[in-house]
Amino acid sequence: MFGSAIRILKNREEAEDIVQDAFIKGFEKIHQLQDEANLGAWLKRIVVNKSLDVARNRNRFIFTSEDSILENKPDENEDDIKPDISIDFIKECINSLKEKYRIVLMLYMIEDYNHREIGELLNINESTVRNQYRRGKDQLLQLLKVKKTG
Amino acid sequence: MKLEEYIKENKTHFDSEKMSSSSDLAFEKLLKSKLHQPKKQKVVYLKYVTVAASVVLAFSVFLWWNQQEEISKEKQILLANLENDSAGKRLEGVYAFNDEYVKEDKKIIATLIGILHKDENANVKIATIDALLKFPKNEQIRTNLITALQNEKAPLVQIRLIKALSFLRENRAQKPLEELINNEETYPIVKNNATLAMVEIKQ
Repeated sequence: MFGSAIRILKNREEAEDIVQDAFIKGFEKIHQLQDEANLGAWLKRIVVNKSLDVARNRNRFIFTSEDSILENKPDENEDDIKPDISIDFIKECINSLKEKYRIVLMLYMIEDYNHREIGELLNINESTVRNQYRRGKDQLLQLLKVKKTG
Repeated sequence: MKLEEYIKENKTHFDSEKMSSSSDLAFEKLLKSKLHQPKKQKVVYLKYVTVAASVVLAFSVFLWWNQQEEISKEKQILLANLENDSAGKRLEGVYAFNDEYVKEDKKIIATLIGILHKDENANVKIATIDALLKFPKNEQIRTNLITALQNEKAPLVQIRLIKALSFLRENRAQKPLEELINNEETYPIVKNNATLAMVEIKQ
């Protein structure tokens, strides 16, 4: 959960506060939990929501639903990366992406939320999420190429 | 390899960050300030309940004490009447007990038993027998009614005692009843009542 918060906020202190607050909120609203088996996912959702709230309040990113027309699907081969690329390098590139792309990529690839769930979390259309994700991924691939060659 | 697959496969590399040890202390503080708050309210609430309960208890004790005082006052008046020199007052006392006093009070019963044996006024004795019949299960009253029958000389009181023992179905009354029946000095009406009582008791 701390990992999720820090990936969204990129700030240790804020992430720690969020996790602690989420636990308190979880205790207070434990009666709202419908399935006990989902406690972990439920708490994680609280952490993610709170982290996104903080990020929004800092005006680091603003999501809008203006990109509702799905862009043309790029060539699938463009997604391919070279096998010698390190994961730390990918992390570095993700962190240098624009906030709105970075967060969507993180939520989809690392936190395992699907496009619909991300739409709910960010209060935007699913199609907007798909567009942001594709643009973010394109930018990341670009960065990987540019930084590698540069 | 696809970028998406590669990142998903190496997801654990993104989880290297751990919370600092100082956060435990901060969390403990936060827990105390947030979750222990309702407990405090509970304590305050409990305090109010305790105070309210104490007030109710004190008021109940006051009422009970007042009632006891009233009862003991009534009892004193009753005992004073029962021990009064005037037969009229004693009769008043016995009737007051009969009408109002529902409690099986040892001291009053002892006084009534004293009247049963020693009072010179037949009316007072008769009223006393009726009053004592309010407690048919009291062994002291039953044995004293039997003794009174053995010693009583006034026919009206004798008849009342016979009827009382017959009503109580007191088997031990058979002996004094026989004595009365066989005694030449006994009034015929008393004998008749004694015979009827014997039949009743034996049934």
